[in-house]
Amino acid sequence: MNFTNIMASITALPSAVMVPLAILIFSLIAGMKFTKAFRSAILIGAGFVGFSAMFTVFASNIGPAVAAFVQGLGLQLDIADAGVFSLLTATWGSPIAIWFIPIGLGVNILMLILNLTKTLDADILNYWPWGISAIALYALTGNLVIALAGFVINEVIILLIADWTAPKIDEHFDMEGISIPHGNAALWPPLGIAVNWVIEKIPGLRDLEADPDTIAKKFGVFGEPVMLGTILGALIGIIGRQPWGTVLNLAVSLAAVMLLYPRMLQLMMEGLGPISEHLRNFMKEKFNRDVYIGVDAAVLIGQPDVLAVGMILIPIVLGLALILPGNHVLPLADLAIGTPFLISMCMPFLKRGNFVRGLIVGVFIFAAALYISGDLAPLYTKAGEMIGMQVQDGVTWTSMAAGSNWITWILVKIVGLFGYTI
Amino acid sequence: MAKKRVLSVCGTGGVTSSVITRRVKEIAEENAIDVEITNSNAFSIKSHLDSEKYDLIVSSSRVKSPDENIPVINCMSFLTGVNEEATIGKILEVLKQD
Repeated sequence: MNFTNIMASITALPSAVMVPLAILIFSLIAGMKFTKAFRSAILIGAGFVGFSAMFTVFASNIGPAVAAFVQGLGLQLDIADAGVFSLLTATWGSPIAIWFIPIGLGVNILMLILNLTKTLDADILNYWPWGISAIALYALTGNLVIALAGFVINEVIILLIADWTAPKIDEHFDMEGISIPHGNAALWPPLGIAVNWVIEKIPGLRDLEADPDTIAKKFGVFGEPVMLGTILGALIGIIGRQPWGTVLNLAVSLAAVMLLYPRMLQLMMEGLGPISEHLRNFMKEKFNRDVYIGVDAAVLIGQPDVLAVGMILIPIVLGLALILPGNHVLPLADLAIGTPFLISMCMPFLKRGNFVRGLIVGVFIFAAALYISGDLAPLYTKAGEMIGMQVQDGVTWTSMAAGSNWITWILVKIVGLFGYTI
Repeated sequence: MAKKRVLSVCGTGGVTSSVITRRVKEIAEENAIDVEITNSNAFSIKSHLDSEKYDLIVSSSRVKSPDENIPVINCMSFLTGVNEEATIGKILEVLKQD
């Protein structure tokens, strides 16, 4: 058996086996003990099985109901937001995902050596948003080299944004020594700064402010994923004129999807955590100088300004989806946690976390997110089909919060100029 | 000593809070302290506190405790690996109280 054969038989394995296997091999190379690495790998596999099962719940229970809802309202919202976990499953489960960790790490180390970045990013879980570019380009072209080039371009841009935003994040949130190379959140500060610049020019608007703490206290309960899922699921059923049994089933299913997502993430992180830590300490020793440690954008979500803006944006984003001309995406699974994430890294740039500006910036971000994630939906759906994430014929899905990757969108458009069509 | 209940909080309630949960479990085990840790996202802190009695909130982000009797310890150091000892000391101080 030669190397190509071995690679082919590995990549033909189901993703719940391939991903842990790749992590196991990688961890052993990185010098972890076998028993520890093995346990981690199995936990990651379990998380993966969980994500796939959640996608099935979404595709079989919620997908058809959404179609009825859309018909009932006479809307054209025919792309379901299946959530970050669905796109994560399609990305880590992709046959090309085996490259993400070595390339992601390699590019970061190379940039550190060449002094092109200060961010040391060993947060392996979050290599996947860079992989979104790769799987979209792979679904479009079938070409591994183009796909991995997309991954690298995405990673480089995100690391640079992480470097550039780090001082301001430290100043505003008081978080020294870190940066946030989180490929979903770090996409948006450029847009946030542009919108803020315009707001500065408008008298009246530029002086508005509201107290985020009061808002968080008043509206807190609606931001809770379990409440949000229940209400949203029931509404979709009622408006879609489903029988009452189906309405209740929808309410519970959507609440379940929103609740289960972090539980599955917990499993994955229990597995990935030790490896990330191991790598981080190893790299910190090698680059014994002033670096930012890359961390997940989740560290910003508890901040009062981020939390308040994120909560109030939930109904606004839903309304936005209904009125934006040409929008096809119905926000669902990502409504619960997507909103605070995408605005989190913008807040330090908005007059020290001004609530009103946060909302305005949020509207622009989510308008862009709806259009981009809708435009890329056929590629994500195809990437999912390639690894057996089945949906009914003619149904497309996306992730509003992660599928709205504008770097991916630009790369897909550029590659599209060379005659690639889906 | 009675069992201590800890709420571990982050943005998703799944990613950075899981890292922290794992570390707090290790620390408690090493010091023979009986703990039960629940993960929560930042939106759901209050519901957790309403339905159960907690002794400590650990978090990767700077959350506010809705109840002044329940201290919040910032555990960012578990993510960066910088100055972990200080955080561990603070956690033990709370967990060792009766």
